[in-house]
Amino acid sequence: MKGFQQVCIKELMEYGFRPYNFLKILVVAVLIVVIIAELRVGREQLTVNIGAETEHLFGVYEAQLERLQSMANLQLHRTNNVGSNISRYFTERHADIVVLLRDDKPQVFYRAYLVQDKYKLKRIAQTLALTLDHGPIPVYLYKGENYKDFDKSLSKVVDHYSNDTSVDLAMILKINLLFSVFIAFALNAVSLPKEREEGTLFFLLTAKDVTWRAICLGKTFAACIVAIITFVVVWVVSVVFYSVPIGGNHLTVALTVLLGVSSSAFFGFFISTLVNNQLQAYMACVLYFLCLLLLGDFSYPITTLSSYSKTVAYLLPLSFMVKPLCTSSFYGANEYGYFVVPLFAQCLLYGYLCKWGVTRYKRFI
Amino acid sequence: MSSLDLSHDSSPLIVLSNVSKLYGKKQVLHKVNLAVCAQDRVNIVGANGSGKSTLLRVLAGISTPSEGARTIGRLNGAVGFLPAKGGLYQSLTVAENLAVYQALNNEDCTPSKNLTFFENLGVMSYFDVPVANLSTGSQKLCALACILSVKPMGLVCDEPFAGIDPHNGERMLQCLLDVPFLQFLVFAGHEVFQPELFVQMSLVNGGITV
Repeated sequence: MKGFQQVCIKELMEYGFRPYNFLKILVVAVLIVVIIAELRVGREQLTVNIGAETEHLFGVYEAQLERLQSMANLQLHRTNNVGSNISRYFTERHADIVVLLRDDKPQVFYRAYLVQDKYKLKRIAQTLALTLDHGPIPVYLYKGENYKDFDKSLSKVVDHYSNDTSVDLAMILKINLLFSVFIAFALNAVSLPKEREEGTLFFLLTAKDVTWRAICLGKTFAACIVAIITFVVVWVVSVVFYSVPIGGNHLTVALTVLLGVSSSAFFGFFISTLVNNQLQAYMACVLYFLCLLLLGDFSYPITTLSSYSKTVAYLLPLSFMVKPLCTSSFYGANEYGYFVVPLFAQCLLYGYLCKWGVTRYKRFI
Repeated sequence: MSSLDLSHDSSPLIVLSNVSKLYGKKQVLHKVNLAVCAQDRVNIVGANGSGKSTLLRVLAGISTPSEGARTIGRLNGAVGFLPAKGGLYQSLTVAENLAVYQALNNEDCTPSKNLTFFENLGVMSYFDVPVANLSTGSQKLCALACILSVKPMGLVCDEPFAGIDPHNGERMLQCLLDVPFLQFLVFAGHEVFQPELFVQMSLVNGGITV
């Protein structure tokens, strides 16, 4: 399409991507790809000692443990029949992760002495807890000899001392998604009012071969590029420093992010055709952010929302992005791959709304 | 209804036929007829809110008329539009703005071909300066230089001399009159301007008269 590429490059220049910086960006992108490849290929095998209160636990969850072992590249050692004194698992049997039954529900404990170990083991413990498929299973951090009461009473440990307040790994993924989706929206929502206030919209509309379709697609594509770069950078950081797992079907992950960010950017452009000035656009951004935060499967599961809130939630791209990405990363599973369909439908819906918004906007120029 | 045909010797470049423009329920233009031909120089005079800017936008093809039609005649290129304020991307330098203008118009980016207007308008020294750091008048001159560098067939200027000192105003006018490829010039302002050079038209109550 004529004009689309030029509008896109113009937008990127406005965001700070100067032509002479493209080479630098390319080098950084290549480095990111190399780092990811190295992470995937060169990750050393971890030896994790998993203790369980009874052999029964290993028996019941044999398939899940096998799956975990193959997925996370782990060497698993098993220890059992030490009873419910978790301190003995850690101190005498050198277990890294312990699964115990309490009121017939499993609970997962892990220990770590170094920060890096802590995040790695926490990831494995969280994955194990999810893999056990027993509803929400708490994961606790064993803090070692600092807690003298630790080995006395399991109940005391669970209820008073060992709640882990360190970084929630699933939350890192969710925050990354939230910001990527929001950035795509915000860049486009402010775009048209800014162009109009700067008087540059008139230039765009008088340029040769530049149509409204080229403006809409060019701006959306540029916003998507920025959002995806943000997502990839934060994702690499979370993988390197927090050992967030890279699992699952990568095509699903890529499609989910692409479609989610695109529909958010289209929605942003639609909003920019409705608002009169930049101030209103900023207010729309705040409102959208609140909706993402409260209704977008970020703070609360969608199933717990009221019917009205659910309707709004299903219109937000984030609602269909959190589950596929988190389950894909932590389970290595792909059972939410079909979420790509509603995301695609959202893209079409917001794309159509953009068309309608532009028709309306043209009447007011 | 008011009408005006400015044609001298040939078929018109742009024709507005019974053009009306409404913003919501407010009617800004009322059945305006206007034909712009080659070598036309027009100055549209009107009070604040009389519809000058709207008429210019319709003429430049930016705005769609609510009623009536804008027809392209012999015009085989773009029409440049200089807005009353702004016109350049504030976060970019003047050089980058020029690059954007040229890229969007598929123009040749050879510096020797495109910097003539910056020299003629006396803004060559601002070439590598971010637009946000320039004064209002300098911004307008730079915007005009950028627009001219993509060789529009005609130029429509909304209050072209607002914020420009008399010396630069004269230089700007001379530069515009000397541009060989500009087939027509349409200005809009609050006062009668250079009656010996421009056909003066007034816009009252959304209708146009000579």
